[in-house]
Amino acid sequence: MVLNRHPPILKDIHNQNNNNSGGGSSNSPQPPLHVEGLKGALQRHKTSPQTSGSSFNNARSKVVVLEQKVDNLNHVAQMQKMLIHGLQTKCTFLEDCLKKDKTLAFKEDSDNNITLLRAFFDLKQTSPIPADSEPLEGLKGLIKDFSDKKTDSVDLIRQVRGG
Amino acid sequence: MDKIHLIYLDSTVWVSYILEDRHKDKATVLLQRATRDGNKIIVSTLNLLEVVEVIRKRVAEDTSFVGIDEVSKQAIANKISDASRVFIQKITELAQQDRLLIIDPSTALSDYLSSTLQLFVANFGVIDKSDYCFICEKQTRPRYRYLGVGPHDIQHIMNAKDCSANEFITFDKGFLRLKNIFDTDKLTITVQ
Repeated sequence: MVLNRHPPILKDIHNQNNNNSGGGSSNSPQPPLHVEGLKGALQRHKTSPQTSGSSFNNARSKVVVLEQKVDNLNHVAQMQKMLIHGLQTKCTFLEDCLKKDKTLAFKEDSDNNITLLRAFFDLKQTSPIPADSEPLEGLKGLIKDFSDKKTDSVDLIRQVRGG
Repeated sequence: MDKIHLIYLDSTVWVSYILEDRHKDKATVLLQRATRDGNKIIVSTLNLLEVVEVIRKRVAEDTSFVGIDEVSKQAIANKISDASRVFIQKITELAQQDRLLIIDPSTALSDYLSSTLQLFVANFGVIDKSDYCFICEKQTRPRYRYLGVGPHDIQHIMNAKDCSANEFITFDKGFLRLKNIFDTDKLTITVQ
């Protein structure tokens, strides 16, 4: 008979199929194999306890749990990124405010130093400065007549700094 | 208030500009750039002291010797005083025009000096050979010399940092040794 040539597992599946379809002669053409039936047959023919259905379910559960944990951590990481971005934006804003406040404070200090320097060097207060006045022109070459044409600014400052 | 770019010019730049030495063209470009288009110069008292000291030395040393009497000494002192006063006058005028700020660090003196000491000790320079006199322009017998950053170099950079300068510019290549330590995204050190 044809069936006798099939391995026991397929015979098992075939019998299952026949039972499902209301039986049939062993001489009739073989119905197609069902995947689910094959899975079940494989499980029944397994002999090792480690490869039993309960172990497979445990591993599957672990995977599901880990997947959930990964999802949760990704969500937390995303929230942290948004929080950091918000803090950085705030930090930049505060730095700008600080710089503006510092500039105002610097202006105040600078004005005080102007008064001090003019007092030390016995200079008259000249305010307001004419709009077309260019103080840089008055500085350019101020002591060029006292240059020895050899020593440059780096050497002169090194001498002053003791280098 | 618009963003202002603060530039701390080392004393070498100021001296080049008033002396018109070999760096004068660079100094002119720098000073023009630093006082317009949203830029502002920072000058510290240390800058002013160093420049006035150079004025004193240059005027005295370049005056032809006619004798060491009270008249000649007073003449030199008057020349020094005139040049110094013009320098300070023009600096204060630039400050009044809001193109320059005359400011010093707000750090407590003890912390300021402690930082200077720490950086000075941590940055030993190099021992080199010297066998040429650039003033006499002739060969000399070889001798050792020490090249390194001095405490005042360090203090200028500290001043620039403390006054929130964006840029520190100098003609002194010795500052390259400090670039690695101080050059950050907040303060750029430019050695020209």
